[in-house]
Amino acid sequence: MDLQKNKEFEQEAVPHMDILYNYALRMTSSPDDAADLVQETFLKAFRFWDKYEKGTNIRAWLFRILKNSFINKYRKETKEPETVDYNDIQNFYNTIKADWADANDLQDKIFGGLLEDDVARALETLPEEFRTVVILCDIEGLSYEEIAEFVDCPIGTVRSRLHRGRKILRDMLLDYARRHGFVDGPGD
Amino acid sequence: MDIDITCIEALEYLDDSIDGRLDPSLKSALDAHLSKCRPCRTEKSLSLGARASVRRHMKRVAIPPAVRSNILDSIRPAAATSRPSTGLAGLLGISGWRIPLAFGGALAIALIALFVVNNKPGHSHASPADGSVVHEALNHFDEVLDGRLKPDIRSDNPLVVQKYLEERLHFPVRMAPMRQFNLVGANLTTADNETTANLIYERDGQIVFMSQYDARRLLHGTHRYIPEPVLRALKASGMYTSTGKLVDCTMAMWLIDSTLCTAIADIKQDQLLANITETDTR
Ligand SMILES: [Zn+2]
Repeated sequence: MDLQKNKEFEQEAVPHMDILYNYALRMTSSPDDAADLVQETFLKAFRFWDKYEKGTNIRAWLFRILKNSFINKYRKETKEPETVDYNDIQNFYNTIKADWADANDLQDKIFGGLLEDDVARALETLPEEFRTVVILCDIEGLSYEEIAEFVDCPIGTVRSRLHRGRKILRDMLLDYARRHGFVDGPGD
Repeated sequence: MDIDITCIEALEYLDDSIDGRLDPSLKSALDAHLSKCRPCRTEKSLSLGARASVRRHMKRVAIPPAVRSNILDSIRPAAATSRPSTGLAGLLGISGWRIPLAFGGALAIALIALFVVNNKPGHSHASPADGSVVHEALNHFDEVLDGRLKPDIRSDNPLVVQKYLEERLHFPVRMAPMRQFNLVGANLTTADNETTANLIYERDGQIVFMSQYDARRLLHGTHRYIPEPVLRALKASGMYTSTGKLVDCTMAMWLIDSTLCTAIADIKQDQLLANITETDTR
């Protein structure tokens, strides 16, 4: 009986450890916190294994446990979002739009010089519900349908959060690029 | 002939198109628009660029082997020793559970968690209201001490207080008669749609604050929870030793059936325990 439970759990739940760890890592930006979260998730999942409905999406179930743990731990501790001066961004953006024609060149010039830290910092400042869907879609490559199951929301909500989240993220990355001086004007 | 779309529509469809989720007729309308609208092309290029940058820097990593084996270790022994049981112990998957549950009319009590510290005046328990019942209880204790949390009912008669509380709760309240402290009264607080019963005892200006929760509700993934170390400690040894967050009070947590009781006081550990365990033998 117990061995059976253990075997089932190892076969079904344990293979998803990596994806949960990656998600936790992107949410917390800390390997230690991510390890704690995943550990807590698996202990809970094991304890509540009877509650898992066999045949349903195990990854989504594990993910929801992790997400609850994350919210319990970090909701009140999230940092003040970094302030982005949207006027600056807007001007910068308008300049780009008006004067840069070569799309491919543009991508490289602007985003090519960003560092991992820039991206991690930008992700970290995204509000939690946007961060979750952006990580799941753009980093983990999950489908809208699976994300909807993960976050327990309609697909339409996933879509709008994703679009909004990407836009905020893009503006932040543009702002970093601007501050780093990767783009100082058209034609150079 | 393509449908004509505006820039606003084009921007709306851009993400769908990038994700391959756009209806083919809309897709060709979007492409037609992009071919003649430079600002929208730039927009697309920026979206793709930002996304590529996220992907490039946020690569998938494997869980560190030490973390992985740690997790597997923590699951395996639990599996080997768990056995069918009833009540909350069963729900928690606790085995070898040294903590007796209530039987007959006697209140059988033992400690789950014990945080110990020096008895000194001045409080700084304030913790974020993060859903942890430990933080919640400490915050309420502070509020009682500085007079913000007052009893809704004042009575030293346990039966009167119990009746008052149970008329307003969905779970049984356990009235712990304390030898050294007198019941002052009780009130109810609500968080995350769950009600907590709070009992206040006093003697010579010293307060014992007791909270009672429906433990089953705390285990079902709502916002409030029993902290993982406490649960883990239950499974392992029935005793939790704090890593030292509390500085000036004593706290004990124990279960009676599925009611989770928490007691906090500015008295020494053994004094509090003497009062609580006193209820055992009555
Ligand atoms: Zn356009």
